[in-house]
Amino acid sequence: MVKRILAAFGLAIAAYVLWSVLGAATPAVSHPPVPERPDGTYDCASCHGPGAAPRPAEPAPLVPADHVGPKYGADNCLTCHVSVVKASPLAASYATCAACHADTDRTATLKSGEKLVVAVDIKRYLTSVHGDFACTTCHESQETIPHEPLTAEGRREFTREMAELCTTCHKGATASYEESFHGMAARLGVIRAATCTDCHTPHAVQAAANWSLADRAASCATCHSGATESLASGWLGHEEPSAGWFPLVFYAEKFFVGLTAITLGLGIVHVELDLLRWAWDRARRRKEDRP
Amino acid sequence: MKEVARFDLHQRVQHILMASSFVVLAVTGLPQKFDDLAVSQAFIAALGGLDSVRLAHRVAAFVMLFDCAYHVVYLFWLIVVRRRRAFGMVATPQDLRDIFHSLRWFLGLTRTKPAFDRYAYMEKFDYWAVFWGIAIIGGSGLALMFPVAVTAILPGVVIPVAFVAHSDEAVLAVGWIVFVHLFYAHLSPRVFPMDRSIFTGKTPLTVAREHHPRWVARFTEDASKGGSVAGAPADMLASSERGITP
Ligand code: HEM
Repeated sequence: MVKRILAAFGLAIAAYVLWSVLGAATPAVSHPPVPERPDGTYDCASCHGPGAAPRPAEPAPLVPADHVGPKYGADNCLTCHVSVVKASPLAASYATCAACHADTDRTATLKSGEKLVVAVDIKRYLTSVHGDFACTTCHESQETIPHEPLTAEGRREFTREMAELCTTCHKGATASYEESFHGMAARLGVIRAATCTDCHTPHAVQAAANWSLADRAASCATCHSGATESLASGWLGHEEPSAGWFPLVFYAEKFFVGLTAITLGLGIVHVELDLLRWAWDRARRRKEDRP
Repeated sequence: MKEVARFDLHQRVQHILMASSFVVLAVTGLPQKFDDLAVSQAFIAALGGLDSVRLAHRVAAFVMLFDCAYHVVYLFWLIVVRRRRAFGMVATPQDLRDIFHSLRWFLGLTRTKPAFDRYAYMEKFDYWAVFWGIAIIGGSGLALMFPVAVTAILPGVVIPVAFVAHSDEAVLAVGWIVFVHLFYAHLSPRVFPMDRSIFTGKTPLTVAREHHPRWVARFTEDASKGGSVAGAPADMLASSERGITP
C-alpha cells in the first residue's frame, strides 16, 4: 500500500516535471501580432504599458511592478520575451541567457585579469543570420549554470577561440580565410591578426549581400585606422577571383604566371644552349689537340 | 696583367646594396608566401616570429628603395651634370642582331661569337629586369605596407592586385637571379668561379677582349686618336679614369 502511494506520488512528480519542461520549451505562440513603430521597434506599451486601454477580447497583463531598473527600458521587453515575436521553439531558451547577458555592462574576468564584455543585444541577434540558433548552439561550453570558467588567457585569445567555432559550419569561408593574408598571419602566431569575428560581429552578422560598403569600411577600420570605403572595395570577400569576380586580380594573376613562365623559360633555355655550346667547343678542341 | 676599369665606386656600392637587400627580402618574403612548408615555419620561428620577419623585410625594402633613388640620382648627375654619355644600358638594334647571332652560334650555325659592346644583351636584360621588377615589386610592396594611404588615392582593387603582383614577381625575380644571373656571374664555365668585376670594379683586359670586344675596340681606338686618358671608357668616372691599369 505504502509502495503504491509512493509510486503514484513519484509518477505524479515525473509527470509534473515533464509537463513543466515541455511547457517551458513550447513557446507561447498565441500572442497577437505586435504593433510596429515606423522605425521598426515594437510598441509593447500600447497594450502592456501603464494606462493602456483594457482589452476584454485579448486581455494583456500590465508590466509587473518588479520590472524596474535599466534592464527594463521601454524598448527592452523583447530581450527576454522573445517568443512574442519569434515563435521558434528556441526562442524560449534565449530568455534564460538574456536574463543575465542582456545586461549591457556585464563582464567576465579572464585568466589574465582582462575583463570581457559578455553582453549581447539580443534583438539585433534575432535579426542576424544566426538568429535562429539557440545561444548554446555555438556556446556549447556555457550550457551549465553557473558556467564553466573561461579557459582563454586574454581577450584576444578568447576571440581566437570563439572564431574556431565558426569553422565548424563555415568550411568554405575558412579555407579562403586561411589562404588570405590575415589567415596566414594568424596561423603564424600573430595574435592580433584579424579573424572571423573581427569582421563578422557574431551576434549581429548579416548576409554578405546586406553589408554596405560603409559597414565593411568600418570593419577594416577597427584595425587599419582610417580605412575608407575605397580600401573596403578591394576586399575579395571569401571568393576566389574569377573572370566575373575581381577580373583585374584574376587576369593579373594569369599575366604574372605567364610572364614568369616565359621569362624564366627563355632564360633557362639561353643558359642551357650556352652551356651546350661551351661543352661542344671543348670537346672539339680536345679532339684537335690530340696528336 | 692589364686591367680595364669597368664599374666605378658608385656602381659597385649600388650593386652591393641591391644584392644584400635582395637576399634579405627574398629570405624574409618567400617564407611568408610558402608558409605551409616546415622550413618556412622553422625559419620564421628562428627569427622570432612573423612580426620580426616583416620588420626585416620592411627595413631591407627601404634599403632597396634607397638604392634605386641613389641610382637615379647618380644617373642624373652623370648624364646631366657631368655630361657623360652613360647610355650603355639602352637597348639598340645591335642587341637584336646579337641575339640572333648568339642563337646561330649556340646551334653551331656560325663559327664566330657575337662581338658585344660594353654591355651584352643579357646584361642589359638583367639591368632592365631589375629596373621594371623593382618598379612592380617596390610599388606593390608599398601598397601592401600602406594600404590605407594608397587607397585614399587609388581604388581599393589595387591592394589585391598588388598582393598578386608582389608575390608572383618575387618568384620571377628569385628564379631569374638563381637560374640565370648567378649562372652568368658565377657558374658559367666561362667565368667560374666568379666574375669579380662588380666588386673590384676592374676586369682583366683579356676577359674584356673576349666578352666585350667592341667595347675594347672602341676605347683603344679612342686612345689611339689621342683620347684624354689612355683607354678610359668614354663614360667612366674620374675615380676610375686610370683606364687600363698595368
Ligand atoms: C623593394 C621593395 C619591397 C617592398 C616595399 C616590400 C614590401 C612587402 C610587404 C609590405 C609585404 C607584406 C608583408 C609585410 O607586411 O611585411 C611583402 C611581402 C612579400 N615580399 Fe616584399 N617588398 C619589397 C621587395 C621584395 C623583394 C625584392 C622580394 C623577393 C625577392 C619580396 C618578396 C616578398 C614576398 C614573397 C612576400 C610575401 C607575399 C605572399 O605572402 O604571397 N619583396 N613585401
